[in-house]
Parts: sequence; C-alpha cells; structure tokens
Amino acid sequence: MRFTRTRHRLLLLVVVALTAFAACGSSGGGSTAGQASGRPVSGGSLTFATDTEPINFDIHVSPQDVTALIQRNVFDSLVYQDSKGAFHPWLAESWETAPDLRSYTFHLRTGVRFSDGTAFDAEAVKLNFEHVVAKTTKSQFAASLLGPYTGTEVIDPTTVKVSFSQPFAPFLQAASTAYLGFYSPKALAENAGKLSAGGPVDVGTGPFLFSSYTKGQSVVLTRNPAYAWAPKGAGHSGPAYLDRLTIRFLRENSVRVGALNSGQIDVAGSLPPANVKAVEANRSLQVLRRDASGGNYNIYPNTTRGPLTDERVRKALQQGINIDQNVRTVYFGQYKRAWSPVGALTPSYNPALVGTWPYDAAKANRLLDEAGWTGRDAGGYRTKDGKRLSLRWPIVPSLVREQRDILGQAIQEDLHKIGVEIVRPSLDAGTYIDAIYSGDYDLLDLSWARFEPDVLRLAFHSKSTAANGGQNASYFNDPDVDRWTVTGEGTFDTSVRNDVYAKTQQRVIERAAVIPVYTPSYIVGAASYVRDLTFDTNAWPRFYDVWRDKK
Amino acid sequence: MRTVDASPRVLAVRAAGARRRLADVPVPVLVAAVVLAVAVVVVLAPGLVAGSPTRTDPVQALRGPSWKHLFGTDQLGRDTFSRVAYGARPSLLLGCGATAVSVAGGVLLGLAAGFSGRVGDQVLMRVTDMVLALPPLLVALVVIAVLGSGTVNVLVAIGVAFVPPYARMVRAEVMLVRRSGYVEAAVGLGLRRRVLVVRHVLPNALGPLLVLATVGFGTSLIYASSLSFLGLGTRPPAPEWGAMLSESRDFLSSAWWIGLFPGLAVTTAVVAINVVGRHLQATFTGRTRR
Repeated sequence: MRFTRTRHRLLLLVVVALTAFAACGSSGGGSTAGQASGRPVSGGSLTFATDTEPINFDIHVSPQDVTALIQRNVFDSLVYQDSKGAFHPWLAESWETAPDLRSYTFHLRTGVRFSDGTAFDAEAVKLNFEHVVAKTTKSQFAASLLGPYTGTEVIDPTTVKVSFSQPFAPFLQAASTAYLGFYSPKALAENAGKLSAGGPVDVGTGPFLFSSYTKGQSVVLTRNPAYAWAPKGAGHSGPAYLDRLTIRFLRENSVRVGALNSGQIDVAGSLPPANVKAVEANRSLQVLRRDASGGNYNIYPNTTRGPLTDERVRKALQQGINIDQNVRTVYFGQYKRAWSPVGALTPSYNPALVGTWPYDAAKANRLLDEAGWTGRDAGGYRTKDGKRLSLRWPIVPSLVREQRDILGQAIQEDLHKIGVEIVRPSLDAGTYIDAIYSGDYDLLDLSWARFEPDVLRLAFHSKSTAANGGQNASYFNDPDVDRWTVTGEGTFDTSVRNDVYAKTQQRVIERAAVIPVYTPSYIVGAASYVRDLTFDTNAWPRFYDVWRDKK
Repeated sequence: MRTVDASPRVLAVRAAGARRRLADVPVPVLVAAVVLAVAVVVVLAPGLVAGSPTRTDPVQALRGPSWKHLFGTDQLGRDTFSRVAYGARPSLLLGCGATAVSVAGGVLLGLAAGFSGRVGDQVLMRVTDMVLALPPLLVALVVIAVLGSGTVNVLVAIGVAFVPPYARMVRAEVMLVRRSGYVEAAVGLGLRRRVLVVRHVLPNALGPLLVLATVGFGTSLIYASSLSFLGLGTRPPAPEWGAMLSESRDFLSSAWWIGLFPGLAVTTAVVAINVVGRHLQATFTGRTRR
C-alpha cells in the first residue's frame, strides 16, 4: 500500500513538474506593472486567464502550481518571502529558530480572523499542520514541504512550536508557500472532504474570499473587506484594491492571446514567447515577466545504462547540442539558456559556470571517437561493435508544454549531426512513470523549480532516486555531492551554503550528470491599466496589490 | 408532336442529363489529376524535394514562402514544402491501412453474421450496433489507450473503429444474395457455402464495398490526422500533416504558411478521394438500375 501511495505521489509530482511551472522563481527585476503613476484606487474587477485548471483546490493536497496561484489570494502563511528571498512577518509576528534547526517557535499576530468569523490562533496552526500530515489527507506535496515533521506544540494561544526529527533549514521557505496556508479549523472539521472542490467551503484568512468555481470555466474571488494583516513587504496594507478577481481557464494559447487583444480578459498568464513581441508592440498592453528559480529545464542522462555510463559520451551530448541557438529560435529570445542546473535567481547560484561548456561539435565528435564510437552505419549514425549509438528519450505528448517537443526535435537534429540517434517513444503518463521507476530511459527531461538550492539535493543526491521519492533522474552517485547537499540542507549559514552548492553545480556539470537547457520564465500579458502586478518567489503573479488605473 | 417533347417533365429530364454530362466530363479528369499528383508526391518525394524534411536551420526559422522555400519554413527553419511532401506518405499510408483493416474486419464479421443463423446474427449485429453508437474517434482512442501510440497502432485503431459500417453492409448483401431465386436454386442443387461466398456474395458486395471504402478512406485520413494532431500518431520529427497542423497552432497569426499548406494538403486529398467515391457510387448504382 505504501508503495502504491509513493508511486502515486511521484506520478503527480512528475505531472506537475511537466505541466505546471513548478515553483519558484524570484527575483527581481522589473516585475511591477506600469510606471507608478498616481495613487492606487480601490474598486473594479479584474479577469486573469491561465492555461491550466486545478484538478484539486485543496492546498494541503494538491501539488499543482495553479492551485497555489489561485489560493494564495484566499490563504495566508506564517511568513512572507519577498522577491529577493528575505523573510518577513505575516501571520507570525516573529519567530525563533532552535540552534540545532530542529524546531521553530512562532509568535502569532493577534486579531487575525478567518472569513467565517473564527479567530486564527496557535490551535489553528496545529490543526492545519496535523491535517497536512494526516494519512487520510493523502497530501501530494504539502506534506513533503514539512519534511521530517514530528509535531506542533501549542505553548499559549499566540505561541506555537513546530518540531522536526532532524535539522531542517528549508522550513521557513516552505512555511511561506500557499501550500502551508491555513484553513479555518471550523472548515477543516465540517468540510474536510469538500475542500478539494473549491468554492465558499475553502475558508481562509486571505485578502479574497472564494466565491464560486465553475468547472471548465472560471473561479470567482471577491474582496475580504475585513483584511488587515497584510505581510510586511507587501505594497500596501488593509483590504485588497480589487472588488473581484475572476480567474478563467483558457487552455489554448491562441485563444488566451486573442482574448487579451480583444479586451475580454485583463491579464493573460503563460504568454507564449511567440506572441511577446506583438503584445509589447501593442500600446494598450504590457508584458511582465519573472524567471523561475530552482531546477531549470534540464536533460538528465541516465548514468547507469548503456553508452551513457561513459562520461565522454555524456560530455559529447552536453557540448554537441547548440543550446544557445535552439533556445533562442524556439523561444524567440524570451527564455534564457541555462549554464547551471539551477536558475540564476536561485540562492547560491554559481555564476562561474557561465560559458564553461559552449557548443563545440568538433570536440563532441572527438570525445565520441575516443569513447570508441568510430563506425558509421547507413543512417549516418555512429556504431561500436556493430551497435548503433541510439538513445531512448521518452515523451508524453499530453503533458508537453512550452514547445518542448519542438525544442526536442532541434536537439535530435543536432545530435544526428554528430552521429547520435535519439529515439523518442511517446508514452502515456502511467507508462512514463513506470519507465522512470525502472530507469528504462537514456535521457529524461524535467524542470523543477523552487526558490531553494535544496533542489540540488533532490536532483543529485545518490539516495534521492525515484524509488525513494526523489528526482535523481541521472542516477548520479558522487560521495562529494552527497556530502555537500546534506551540509547545505542542515545550515542557514549563507557562506557555507554558497560554497557547497557552488561546488555541487560545478561537479554535476563537469561530470556531465546534467545538460541544462533553459530557465523557464513566467511571462504575463496585461492591459496597460493594470497596475502593481508583481510576482512572488515562485514567479506566480500576486493580486493583492493590483489596482486598475482608469486614466 | 414536337411540342410535346417540350413538356416540363421532359425538359427537366434533359436538363438533368445535361448537368450530368457536364459534371461527368471534367471532374474525373480533375480528380484523376489531383490523385495522380498526390501519388507522384508519395512515390517520388525524396527525388522531388531537395531539402530534408527534418534538417533544421534555426537561422532561417519562420521565413515566408519564397523561391528557395516554396511553402516557407517552420519554427526550426525546416522547409515546409518538403515536410508536406514527405508527410503525404504516413498520412496516406494511415488512410489506406486503416481502410484495409476496416474492410477486412467488416467482411469477416458481415459474412459471419450473414451465415451464422438467427442467434449468431442477432448477437453479432447488436454488438456491431453498440460499437456503431460510439463516436469512432472515441473507439480509436480506447484502442490506442490499450495498444499505445505510434503509426501502426493508430492505423489499427482507426481500422477497428470503422469496422461496423462495412460489417452491416456485407451482411445485408449476404442476406440479399442468399434469398435470391438463383442462389436458392443453386443451393438446392448442392452448391457449397464456400463457393456461394466466393462466386456470388463477394462479387455482388464488391461494388458497394468499393464505394464505401473510398469514402471511408477519406474519413480515415481525417481521423488519422486528428490523432496525429493530438500527438498519438507518427513520431516526430518525421513529418505528418496532422502533426504539422498541431505544431502550427501557436503561429496562426504570425506565420500562416506553417499551418495553411498541410491543411490544404489534407483537404485536397480528402475532397479528391470523396469525389472519386461519389463517382464510383454513381457508376455502380447506374449499373444496378440498368
């Protein structure tokens, strides 16, 4: 039973990693809509269109990005992480971390009320975390954010202590996500089974109330007039400016862009790179963006199987693909090519890797010759002992997004030029998961973003394989990397973290355990009157500060 | 009495005749030309087209039609003309193969139903009715879910989805032939069932079967393209019309040529084949009437 559950969870994780933009980006850069012209005005409604629809609205269960994106407006967290990664008080006014990083004590803000009138207190924190980890909740993501959680202790109504069985530095970041937001204990008690369906039963403390959900159509959120506990670091305090926020589900790219152009929606999420130029050229529209952080879109060679056990062959792949040109062409210059397995906005990103492994077909050919793949067959592919250099890279058509199938064809063609055959069997999601479990692939592509360099442990620690609920798709095994990533997980010391994570990034590139391709970017098209639309560290738009400038 | 000839009825008949002649003359020629052109492309694609359909050239991406690239280039700089030309093969192969599967399945099932007596007939035909009630695309998707995707599986899936119409038609033909006087006489004289099937049933069924198969071929082609559009057919980067259409979706406003030409190819092929089917139908029903 346990096996099945883990499998199930992995399936969902993979689906999420593939379909949704998992996680996190952050940073910086020009994410404020409009030039701060004038003072914000309250009122009006806004329609935002997204390309995915939540399968499950329960933040404690769903691993989907879109669930968190929507529910962020309905649920608050203990702490707030600003776009630079710093933590600020939110529902917790202050907190202390035990020296051994095994427990965190939070002092809660007073006067916070859920929209059903009940008070937010230490007991609510305890009940919510217990709900997350309860077996019956079947959490697919939130429970993993709590990591080695052992329990929550109510010290007094405004003080609560969360404990872990081992040092757990990533907890503050986890506690800032919408996945660890707080339901009203009354809602948890009365409607635990209905939370996943969305609607008014999803009662939180957030700036908006969940008014209605029409499947296949839209979610309607209305302003919470009593809201007075905005996080420090937000653009304003008090209730949200918008009376109403409608989230529409428009899956087809051309439809979403068309709706934006014709004014049927005010903001279009996941703007396709092909349309960015046209939207930028339109004076009544604007483009806003933020790069993701955490795991880039990377290709992972299976280091335990066939030709790719040879590091030289992996190196040849790494430098035999013209990543610069392919990424520029397929994404119209809108996404950045990647040099490290993690995005440039991720804390402890190693900028020294930039330019260290450029496209070099001659070198790739030389490496393949050295590795003994010197023969050539009728198809122009390399052979060794009569066997063709052929690699299996499965694809799930229904989960393809961001033109990754097209990018894959460009990569296929580049590798063809150096005599490597790439075979891309199309699988359904279930078969794909089986392939991941059994390691029945030579290459696998994933993006897994989170505003945390701990993704490196998830992706490269030798114990972090699929069977253990991890994502080490390369089956990479390097004792140094194991040691470094565990050190990073157990400390807050920035210099130590920078050091171990920089070394990890360099090592996995040197040993060609990964071929970083590009850093996904969340690009939003919006009408020019939409003001103060910003992004959180997950690169998801935030609507609390947004207002309409009708000038 | 010449004036009698000009009665409205006679005029109408004449007009119809004239229309018929008018329609008869150019259409087969036109259609034959189209079908021939498609056939030439299918057979000779590698010789006709200089560029490889899979060779990428990112610098030349999304260029409009020109002398160098008649149909322009796609988002990876591949020549759309050579992709449409090479794409004809898998597309038509899927259409032909799927129709062959349907015809074979339909003939077997129809014969079985026609000859298996009251109970067997009822069972087989009610099952056929049930399958007929489901949308063919749904049946095809179920088959693919079981078999997995890929060209051959898509071919089988569409073939299976379209078995029922053929089965019904063959069964009807069996019933008709079995009850005709000459066959009853022949059976009375000791004609064996095998001979009955080969000499009498199948030749009689051939005409309608051919008509249905021609029309069915066009339909199969559309379904094959639809499944490829959904990413279930031919494996990229090999070109296929439906898959090309799918890839062009995001460029409808910025690069119309990526989608227009494969779309035109599917449309032309299907229309041409359907016109052939209609003509065959006219010919066969004409013969029956005579």
